[in-house]
Amino acid sequence: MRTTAAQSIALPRTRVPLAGWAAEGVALLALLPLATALACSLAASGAESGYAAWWGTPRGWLALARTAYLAAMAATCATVLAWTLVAAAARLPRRWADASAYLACLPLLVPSSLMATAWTVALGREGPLAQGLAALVGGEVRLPVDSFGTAAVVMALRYFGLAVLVLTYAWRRLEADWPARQVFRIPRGAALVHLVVRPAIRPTAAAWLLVALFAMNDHIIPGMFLISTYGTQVLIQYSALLDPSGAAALAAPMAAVGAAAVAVVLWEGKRTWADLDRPAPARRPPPGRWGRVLGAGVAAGVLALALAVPVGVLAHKAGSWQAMGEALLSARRQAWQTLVLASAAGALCMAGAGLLAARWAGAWRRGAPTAVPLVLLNLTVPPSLLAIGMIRLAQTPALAAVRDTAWPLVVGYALRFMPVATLALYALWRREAVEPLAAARVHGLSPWRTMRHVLWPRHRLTLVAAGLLGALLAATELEMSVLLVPPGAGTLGVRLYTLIHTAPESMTSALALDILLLAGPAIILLGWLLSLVRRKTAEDG
Amino acid sequence: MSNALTCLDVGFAYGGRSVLRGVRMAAAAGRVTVLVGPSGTGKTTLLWILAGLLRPTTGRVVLAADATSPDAAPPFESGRARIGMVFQTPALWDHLTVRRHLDLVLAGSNLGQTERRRRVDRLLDQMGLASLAERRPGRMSGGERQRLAIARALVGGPEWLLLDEPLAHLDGPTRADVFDLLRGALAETRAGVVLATHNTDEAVRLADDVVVLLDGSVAQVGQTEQVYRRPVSLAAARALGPASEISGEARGGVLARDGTVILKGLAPERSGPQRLILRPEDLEFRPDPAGAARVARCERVGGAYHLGVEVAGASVWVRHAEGCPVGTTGHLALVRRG
Repeated sequence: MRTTAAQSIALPRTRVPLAGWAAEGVALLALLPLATALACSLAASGAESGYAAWWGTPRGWLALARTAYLAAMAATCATVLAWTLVAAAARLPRRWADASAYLACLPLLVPSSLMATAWTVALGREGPLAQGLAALVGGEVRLPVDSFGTAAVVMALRYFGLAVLVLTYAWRRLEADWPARQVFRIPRGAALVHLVVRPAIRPTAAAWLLVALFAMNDHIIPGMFLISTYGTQVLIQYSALLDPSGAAALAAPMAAVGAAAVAVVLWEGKRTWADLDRPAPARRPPPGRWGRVLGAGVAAGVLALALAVPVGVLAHKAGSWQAMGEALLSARRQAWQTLVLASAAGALCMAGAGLLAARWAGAWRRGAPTAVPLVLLNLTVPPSLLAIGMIRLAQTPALAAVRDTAWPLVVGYALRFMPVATLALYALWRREAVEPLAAARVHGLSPWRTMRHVLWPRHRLTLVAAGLLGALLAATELEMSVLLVPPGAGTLGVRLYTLIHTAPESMTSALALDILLLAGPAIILLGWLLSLVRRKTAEDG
Repeated sequence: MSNALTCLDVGFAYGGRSVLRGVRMAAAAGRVTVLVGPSGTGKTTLLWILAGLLRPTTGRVVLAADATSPDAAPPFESGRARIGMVFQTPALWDHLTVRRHLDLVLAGSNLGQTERRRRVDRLLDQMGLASLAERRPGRMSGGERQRLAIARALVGGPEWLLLDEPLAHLDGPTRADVFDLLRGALAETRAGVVLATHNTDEAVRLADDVVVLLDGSVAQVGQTEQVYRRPVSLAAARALGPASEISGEARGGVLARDGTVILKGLAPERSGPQRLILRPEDLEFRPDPAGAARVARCERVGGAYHLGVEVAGASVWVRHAEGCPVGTTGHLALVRRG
């Protein structure tokens, strides 16, 4: 090396290949509970294997058929609702359209027991809807509370936000073709077929599958409407019949169905997915005043059905602020427990998702293989399967210390929702310019300085938003909580689920409203963080 | 003997596509080596390999002290060398101020606080950024951002300076200003410079040595004048500016094709089939109503004109002091005997 006066400056530059390997290790570790549960499903339960017991007889297939039927109905209903909202919101200013998409996602961030409570109360014989209709027709009205249709609609109202997100982006791509249609004077019919209907098929199918996947794995809402799905059977098999192998054997094929659905969504929605990276396209010319009024009216109607009706019914039944205060006071231990568990899960989510998404984005840029996408399996498989895996792991001697503590639940939450955060961060980071990081490396910044001065300031907003999203989802999770919650204090969602069966409607409604009020600030904070991230991304772009 | 950053049969493949193939080249310390070639030919990839940001799929990069036996040279450890780099985009750290950008690069050095400050202040002055020291890149113009990127590359006192299309995103007067600053900085630094560009004008003005990269391979290596005057192929010639190829039978100081004289002024001793690669300034067009050459295009280039002249099926560019109406006929002649 040539020696110069300037050589006295020693700039350290080391690479950290360990970070990449650590991410691969975390990805594989995250699959350990799932693998454990699958191994458990192979063990014999009683005289025969769980698979033979469930899938060698019609009962497993019946459970699958009921679940698939309900999920398909819910997905269809949600897709129709989502298209209605998206098409109506497209007539509004962009800010309002964004707001309506966010609002449609709100039901995703409250426990499914809350939505189920609101609608069972609303549709019950003494519920406001039934009573209102009775007053209208002048006689007793019995609404179909315990039916597939009602359960499917309520599930659709909880999950249609997912479809709204996918279809909003798809619609904006369609809008990008609008100026071309006008410039080239494409006939209206041809434009409708080639520029609207055909490009919309794939995103619509992707949205449908996504909602179907989530609806399939939710047994709380159907259970409240007395519809038994495979999730209900898993719970009975595990908790009542004390047969984890049988429960896992029932859930395992559902995991395969879920994984296949997500693979199809990712593959078929590739174009939509890739479009997220493009800059916001030009909009079609704004509609006239009446068009906007119509759009606002339809959007408000859909959102009222999803948000205002449940909240209004709960408020009507809760009766007073005092009742809400009493309900919260009696559930203060659960509220505190929920806060602690969700915070811990959110922090784990943030750290894990940051590491995994960085690795995934890096591998994508290099065209290198990585195990990170496999963590998506944790989101697609039935939550009960993950819970069974966590319980089995906690029963091993090496993990005896965490048995009967909240740790299996916290880790379970983190593993379940880390894929959501990972996917969101990956979508943001994979197209991000790598040069600033390369500049840090080439100009001799140490790994610590790179992390502190380059990476963290650039990514802290998105990481905190990802952690908060994970925490919110963990706070409202119920399917895993029912199986994993430690002895003693439960979570708010579990308490609400219990109260529905044991307490008067007024108390249940009051607690449901309390949960909404508690979730509110976190949701507003998340929305604010997301808007900051969006603004920053736009500035950087 | 000064060191040379040497690529030995370097290859790089990405996603099954070969980006670089068997690249052998050397960039000498204290000289400006320019990588030229059209976009997408692997210049950026080669710079990233030299910077240690990419690992070559085949071959290696060494620091050779002896040009005759580079294969025995030790590998170039980019992690231990001081490298300054300007990326295609400014690649700035948007949350940091101008001063903090430079300070951060020096933070890991063994320089004292005072010396660091002095060095940063000097560079800020030199780059015309002193009044923007507390500003963040988001509130700076494209030229200012690029000046900051250059300052960041220089502040550590690099032994090797890698510049990847440093002016690509600038235009007009800003480009000229930053070019002047860059030229001044390169004249001052003792670093070995490797500059990638597809801008032929910048390449010719800055380069001591030129490496012509075409389709991932080295087409020609040499000193700028040599590559400019004696290109190995038309494609290599075009990497450094406009050029045309003309072929025919040389006899008695003229080049003829199918019995038609297409070029005069050849050295009398040249004879037989010839393929000439000619720069516009190598040729002159002499109007003559009986001439076989015909002006097909006339374009203004700076203070002169480039005439697109067709003769016996061949098409060449000729530099001409004045514009010439399309359709004018005449003769082509070599300005310098070749």
